[in-house]
Amino acid sequence: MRLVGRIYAALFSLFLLAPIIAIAGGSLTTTNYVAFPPRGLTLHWYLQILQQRESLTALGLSLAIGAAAATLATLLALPVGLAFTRYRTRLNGVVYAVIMTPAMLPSVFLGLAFLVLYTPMGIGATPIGLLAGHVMIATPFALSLILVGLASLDGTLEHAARSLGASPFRAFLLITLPQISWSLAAGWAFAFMISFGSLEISLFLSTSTLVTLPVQIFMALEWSPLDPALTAISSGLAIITLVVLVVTARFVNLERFLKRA
Amino acid sequence: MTRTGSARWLRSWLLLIAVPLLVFGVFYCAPIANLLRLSFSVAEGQTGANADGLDIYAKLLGDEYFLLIVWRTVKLSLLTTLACAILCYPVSMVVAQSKGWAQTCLFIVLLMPLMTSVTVTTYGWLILLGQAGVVNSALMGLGVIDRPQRLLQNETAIVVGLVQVMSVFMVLSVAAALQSIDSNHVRAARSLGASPWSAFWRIVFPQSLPGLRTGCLLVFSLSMSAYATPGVLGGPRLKFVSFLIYQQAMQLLDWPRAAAMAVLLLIVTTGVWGLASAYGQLKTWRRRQAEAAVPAFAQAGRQGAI
Amino acid sequence: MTDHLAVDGLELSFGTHQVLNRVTFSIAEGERLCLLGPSGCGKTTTLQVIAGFIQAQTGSVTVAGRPIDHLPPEKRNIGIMFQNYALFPHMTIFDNVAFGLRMRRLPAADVEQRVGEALRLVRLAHAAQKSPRQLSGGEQQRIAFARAVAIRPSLLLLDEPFSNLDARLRIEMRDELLHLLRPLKIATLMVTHDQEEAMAIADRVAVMRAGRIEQIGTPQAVYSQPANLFVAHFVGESNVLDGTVLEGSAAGTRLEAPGLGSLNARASGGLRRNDQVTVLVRPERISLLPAGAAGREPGWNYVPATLDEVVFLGHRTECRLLAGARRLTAWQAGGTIEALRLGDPVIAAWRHDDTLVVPQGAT
Repeated sequence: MRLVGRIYAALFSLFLLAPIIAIAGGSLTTTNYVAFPPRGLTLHWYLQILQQRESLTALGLSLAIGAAAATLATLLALPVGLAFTRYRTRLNGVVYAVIMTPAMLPSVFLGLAFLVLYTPMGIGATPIGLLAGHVMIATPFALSLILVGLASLDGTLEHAARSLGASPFRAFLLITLPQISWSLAAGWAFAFMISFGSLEISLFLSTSTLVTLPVQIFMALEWSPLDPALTAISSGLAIITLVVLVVTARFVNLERFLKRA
Repeated sequence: MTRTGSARWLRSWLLLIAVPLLVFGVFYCAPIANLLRLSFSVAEGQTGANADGLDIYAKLLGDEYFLLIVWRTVKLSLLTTLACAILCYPVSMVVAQSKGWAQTCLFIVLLMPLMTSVTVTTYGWLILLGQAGVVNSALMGLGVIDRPQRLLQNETAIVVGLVQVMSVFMVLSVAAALQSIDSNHVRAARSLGASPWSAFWRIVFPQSLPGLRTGCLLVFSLSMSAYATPGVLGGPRLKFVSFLIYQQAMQLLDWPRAAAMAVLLLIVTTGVWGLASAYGQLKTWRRRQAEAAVPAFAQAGRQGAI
Repeated sequence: MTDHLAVDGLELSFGTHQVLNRVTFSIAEGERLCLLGPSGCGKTTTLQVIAGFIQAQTGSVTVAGRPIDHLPPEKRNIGIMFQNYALFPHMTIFDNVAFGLRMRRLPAADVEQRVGEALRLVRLAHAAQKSPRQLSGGEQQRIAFARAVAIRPSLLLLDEPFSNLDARLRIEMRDELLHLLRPLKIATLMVTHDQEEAMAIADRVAVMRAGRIEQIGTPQAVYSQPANLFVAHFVGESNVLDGTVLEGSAAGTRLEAPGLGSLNARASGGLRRNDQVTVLVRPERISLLPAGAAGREPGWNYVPATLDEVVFLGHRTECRLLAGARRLTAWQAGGTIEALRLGDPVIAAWRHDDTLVVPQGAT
């Protein structure tokens, strides 16, 4: 019975990973159209990306926006998480609803809403607008991981530090912050990946010169879906995701996800 | 540090919350409010007596093409939810039971489709399901079919793609519920004579229902608003509502109409959540009514520690 | 002795729930006071108010004549040993103990010397570079103690110090803590729900219930002269009987207990004939005599009974007696009642002075 379950889980995992494996495999083909399983092995297509200015610019923009959005999201989520754990009030529920809903609302709805107001605000087709949109959808993920970290924190530690002579700020810096650093890191990583992979928000807020990598791939899919260079970029994206995820898992016990609910 | 000195804690609370709330107010709440306002505005060129704020909605709801796309979106989202629930439940059981590195690996596998850009995974399906793709060659190799079939640009392809992206929400929701079940419940049921199957069906399954409900709600609402997966795997004929919204806004530049569509999409997706939470509140309310009958001294014990 | 800590009229309520109700007590220099009470009685809240983590709505806390109500916790110089020890898990033992000294910006050499002293005091100098997780529960507690006293606090607070230890270690650590506290001569406030811990450690015990202090006194006084039925129940076990006063005087009280006949009890002021009272007798004060035993000494109550149940508990034997319709419990040391069998008639005997009278209504 247990064995059957494991075999099923393995098959299901294969199903989940199949498209990513196909992308990574297809990018190694020597043919000049995408073939999976690949015919022969070459890194030619990866080298070719280096000559594609557009793809490099898009990758650079995605990385920059992702890092900036994740950092801002973490900085916004940390004080909110602290307020929630320190002060029990019904107002927390209202604030929580405001900050968590971007993760639940249709992203096309959000993208359109951002476009329609950011344009008259003067940040419609600018990196600032794009960043603002990404911060909104990344913060819920940062907040939920930071809340997991704060929930597992022993509140008496801060009391102990205070009784030993630490000011509130020093107690936070020396005691609380090191205790929740893993959840800050995980929150940052998840916020980064959400921003890095986001398509819909970017579609609405991008222009012909301001293009993130997912948008570029999505646009390219329309005319040349069988271009192996495209698979190389895509698998590059998947590899970055996998690395961030594995590194996060190395430092964070992912099982805490189950404790959240 | 606790509830005393209300003015003082309110000040520190506001101090922590102020900046994030301001940022979200300006960059999140204001755009949404603005979009709602826009959707109720009078369409251009429509003046006179019968022009009112609901004009655009009235037109949309009378538009058969729009309703057809809404129906397709709802139908395929329901199918995706059902498929996810059935396919993911056993996986959740494995996740809830596994430990250590095996569980970590499972988590990474589950999170990969969520964290990888949806364009990448969709592209992967394009390669797998194409005419010369590995699925077609495998089916031909097994002798199931004798020439390549058209596996893309149909509703099945959309559901397959959506299930792959959404299953993480279902698995994690159900596994969280399963893991919180006291394993002694099952042992107790077995000791009382229940077979493994009936112990599962009568003890474990009912307790996992809240997780299953959360999972279904998440998968349904996220499928409803999916954009890239149906767009690429369904092809131009099988549009979803979100594609229509993008087209209205970015290609036809009709923002009020796009806004109205987006609001309708929002109402359908959040409406499901609203119904679910109303149901949940009804249940809590009923339980409270029942508890009110419990003598006061039984309640006193709960107030225990301050 | 002068009052070192003075707690005066603390009041705190959340809505209609009164957590602290005019809590007033003081601790002399070098004295150990224990707040004893069931969970939710407000003892931990009192401790938190003194430490500065909770503000009381009225009342004041004074240390060495100086009010400290307006001071934040870090300015109070109060050492606290937390219930779960609250050792900082990301720091070594050395850094834990040094934390308070570093907050006081002591030179590194002084920090090192004083941490060394504190660790030697608790005999854990060898563990300085370990992490808290590597220590046993008892060792962690000693570190928590070392950390609290390393700052040379003007007051030491101990919050349920033994609740996280198993039964055997609890007694061991109780002796250890007493041994550590005695030479320090530091004013100490301990909070516990365990009457044995309280009586073992404290010079004086304050019994709390529902936010009020019911009685303060030495452990002996609280045990032998409980102010009311609650204190009597909470501190030790008692046989509880109803009675009617026949005669009260400075020499003693004579009363009628239904089913037991007339009894003599210790003198208790303000009692008049026909007052309804509650009579308390500690089980260890009751001796059992064979039914035929002759000789009645003055100053003793004698009640005929039958032996209903005998429970052997090793260090003592519990005898349940039936005196008419009343049940009595008597504790006998070792095997003194081996000769008796269930159902045998016996005589329960105890001194007049061991019979306590509490007016009814003073619950």
